[in-house]
Amino acid sequence: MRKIVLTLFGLLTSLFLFAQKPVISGYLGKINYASIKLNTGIRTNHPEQWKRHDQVSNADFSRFSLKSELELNYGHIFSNNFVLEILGGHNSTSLDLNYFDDPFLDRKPGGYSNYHNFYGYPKIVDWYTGVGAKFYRRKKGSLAPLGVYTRLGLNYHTYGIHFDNILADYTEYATQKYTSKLFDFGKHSYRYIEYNGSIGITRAFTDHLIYDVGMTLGWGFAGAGFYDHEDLPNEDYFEYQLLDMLQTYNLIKMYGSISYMF
Amino acid sequence: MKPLILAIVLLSTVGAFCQVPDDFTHLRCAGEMPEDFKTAFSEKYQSDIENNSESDLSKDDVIEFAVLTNYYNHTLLTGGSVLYGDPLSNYANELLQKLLVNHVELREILRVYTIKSNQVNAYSTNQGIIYVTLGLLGKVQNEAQLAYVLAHEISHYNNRHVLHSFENQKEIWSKGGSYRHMDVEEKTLKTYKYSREAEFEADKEALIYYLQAGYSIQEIYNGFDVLLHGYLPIEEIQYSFEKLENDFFKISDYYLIDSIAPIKDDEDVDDELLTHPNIQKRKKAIVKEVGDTNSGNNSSLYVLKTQQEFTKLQDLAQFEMINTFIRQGNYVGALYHIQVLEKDYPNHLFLKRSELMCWYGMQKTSSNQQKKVYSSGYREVEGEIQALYFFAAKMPKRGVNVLATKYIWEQSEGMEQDSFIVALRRQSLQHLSENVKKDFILTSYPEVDTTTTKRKRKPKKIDFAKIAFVELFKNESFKTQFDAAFKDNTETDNDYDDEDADDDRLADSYVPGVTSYYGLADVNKMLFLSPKFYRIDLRKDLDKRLITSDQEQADLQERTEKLSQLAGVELVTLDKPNPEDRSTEMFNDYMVIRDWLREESIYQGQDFYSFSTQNLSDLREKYGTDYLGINYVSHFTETNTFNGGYFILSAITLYPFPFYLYWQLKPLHNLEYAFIVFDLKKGDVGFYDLKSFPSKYRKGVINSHLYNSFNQLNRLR
Repeated sequence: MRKIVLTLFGLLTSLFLFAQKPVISGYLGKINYASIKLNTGIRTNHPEQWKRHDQVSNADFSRFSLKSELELNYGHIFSNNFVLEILGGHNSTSLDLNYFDDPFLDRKPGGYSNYHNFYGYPKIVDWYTGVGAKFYRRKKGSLAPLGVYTRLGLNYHTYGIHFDNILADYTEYATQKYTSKLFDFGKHSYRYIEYNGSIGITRAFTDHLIYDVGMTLGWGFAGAGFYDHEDLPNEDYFEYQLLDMLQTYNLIKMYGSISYMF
Repeated sequence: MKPLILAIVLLSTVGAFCQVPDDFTHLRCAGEMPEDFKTAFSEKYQSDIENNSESDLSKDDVIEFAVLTNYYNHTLLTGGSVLYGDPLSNYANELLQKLLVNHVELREILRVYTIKSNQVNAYSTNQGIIYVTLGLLGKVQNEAQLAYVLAHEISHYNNRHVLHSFENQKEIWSKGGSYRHMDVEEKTLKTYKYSREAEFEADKEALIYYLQAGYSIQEIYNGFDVLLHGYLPIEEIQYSFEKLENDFFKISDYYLIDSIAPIKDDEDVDDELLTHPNIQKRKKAIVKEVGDTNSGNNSSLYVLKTQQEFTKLQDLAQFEMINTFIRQGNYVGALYHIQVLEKDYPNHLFLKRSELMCWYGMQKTSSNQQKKVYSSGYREVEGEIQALYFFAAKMPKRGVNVLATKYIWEQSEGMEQDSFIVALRRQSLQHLSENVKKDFILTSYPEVDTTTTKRKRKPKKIDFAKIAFVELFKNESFKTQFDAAFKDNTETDNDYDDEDADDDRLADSYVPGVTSYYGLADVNKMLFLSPKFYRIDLRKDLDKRLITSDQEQADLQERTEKLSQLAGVELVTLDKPNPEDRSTEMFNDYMVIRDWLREESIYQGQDFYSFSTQNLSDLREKYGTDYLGINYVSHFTETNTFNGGYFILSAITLYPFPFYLYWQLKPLHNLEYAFIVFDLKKGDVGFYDLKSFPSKYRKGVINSHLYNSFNQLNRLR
């Protein structure tokens, strides 16, 4: 009998708890936002700006450049401490193929050949989508969407790599023939999954506009079949080096965004 | 002791003229609200800065003086503890006019208000306000004594003693100047000496106003005696414990004092560390001026009012003192004074309610380990009231519970129409059932066992209380409610643990610095007290902090109004900051609320039926809401304390040094936000949002929390 009474009491308590659950307040009643976000970071060894071969002398880029990604976010406040975001972003970047010359080593039965001393930086275009979950920290006085938060994110990147208009020295080792020639390996596509964690802080400008600044640490991986071009002489090696570059590329980013609440 | 004997004689002869209304509950303000209560703090200090621009003080000191004195004044005036337009303040003002009949300028500037405090005190401010306390009005023996106190305060104002005291302190405590070689002790003594000199000067000048009005010189000396014994009750009478007893039930002698401590009469105390000279010196100084008795033609005790009118006013003050005692939890003081007043008002409803409230209050506080509120330190108490302090200190929790319930039920017989008393009876019985085991209480008198020869154990001192309810059990209504209270309580104990249930409700709030309890919903209208903002920046002077606080507070008040509208909660702000929105009617309501909050604060939100609750029902009906909200925000800043260990470590390892410097030089901030809503019908806290986190004050963040609090309140809309 005592157990029954206690069970009934437990049920009643849970109903009571449900009734007492806080409602979502958002920012002054607004629980959705659309934002423009800029991710930035320092990049070394690779250029951020792509260029045709006739626009550059060899390796004329600065060893330090500022990378930038433009992102659009839609956020919905699910509780006073939790926000879910969906996002889409775009950026255009490049790489220095001189770090990548091994993939162009062609081991044909007639003899080895290779491209090296590349002029020009291939255009890499990235379109990505993702989701993010923001957890606002109550002990810091946060109340979604304002205050200090930690964010976990997952982004799906699709990189398009345009191997055209690159001038390189071409060597046929069997014949000891050196030429300089334009090569065109067409457009390569590469997919990459980035996971990241951020800490940031959101503040209000006005009753509708809020801003957000923070820092992201990220890493990523590429699954089997994420690379869908097979024209390069040493395909696997290129894939390996590209993954390495993208992981470094996404390692640390600072960001700032401005959002409109509605 | 002579003045006290005189007081007893006077009070006993004027009983026939007592006229405190039968429906008295508390004193109220009346008439048009004075500018002092309406004007904003910023206006007050700015006006004073302009007026004091020709002072000897530096510009910064002028600002500091204006801000500090006005802040204290403003807080007091708007805090709900000061009365205006009431019979007591009106009388004091009339008396002031009488004293200043030949001093037109002073008459136009000075005004008197009454502070709801039982201390015997009066003081004047640099702004021309004289405050007198209820304690003073309730204790002076005649109009002449009150007139002298007022004359003394007029002199303080006329000689700008507050300003000069400030100037003097600045000079003494400044780093340079002629006092720089003195140590702290010498400087302190110097400060007190100046204060005593000012008192002598005020005493001397007061004679001019006092004698011009025609009052008796002898009453100055008697008045000093009243001040000397200001800590005593209004009258010395023996407290009657017989009212708790009947033919069969007697209180154990153990709880009754054998002999009381005599009243000391030490006029010549060492006053070196006092702001006021001792009474003997003050009397001598007066004697030096005017002689020791009724020299000259002055012999009047009453000039403005008759003795009967004065007594009527004094009764009002003494009745209101009961409210103050209860609000402070000083039930012993209240019980004693109730007995004194009952001599002239034997069946007054207010006194009856107050007395029962005191017993209920003692019952609650003794059970909540808060007995010290009313019973500590009986050894230091002098006079007849010591017996009551002794009784309260010695009586254990069980005894207080039993006696309180017994007395409340016995005394409230025939008062079933009084909802306050009925509620008190129910609460008392309920509390008894929660704190005293049922088998302690006997329903019939035990038979005396004469057969056994076996030696019995010595009865406990508290055993006398076992038979307290035997007579009451003959009352069917009591018996039924007694059984119901104990039955309910037993079932509650068996079924679940109440504490655990509360923990479940608050489980959501176990985050450091954040405590929330959303026990109310669908609240779309409530009474509200203007939000308060406190900027406490320890790096800055107090006056700067107060100015910033005031500016931010005005902004916060405006935003709170807007955000409540956005969340659909209508606020009825009782202390609106705009002068044009203020009225005496609202201020009276505000005072009721403030009094209730003060009384509730003693019990820290514990389930308590406070005395002021009886005044709330009218407000609930008038404003159409059962809820009251309060809100405050404070931003605290201080410099980070120097950490030598981190300094050495970072200096040696070098690279962390910039981070160390940043950490060391960065001030520490903390922001506190509190939003509390009371359920006035239940008399409890129904909702709260309390947050404390390391952050600067950011309006957006506070807006967000404010909106959230209102939104949670009105969440079922």
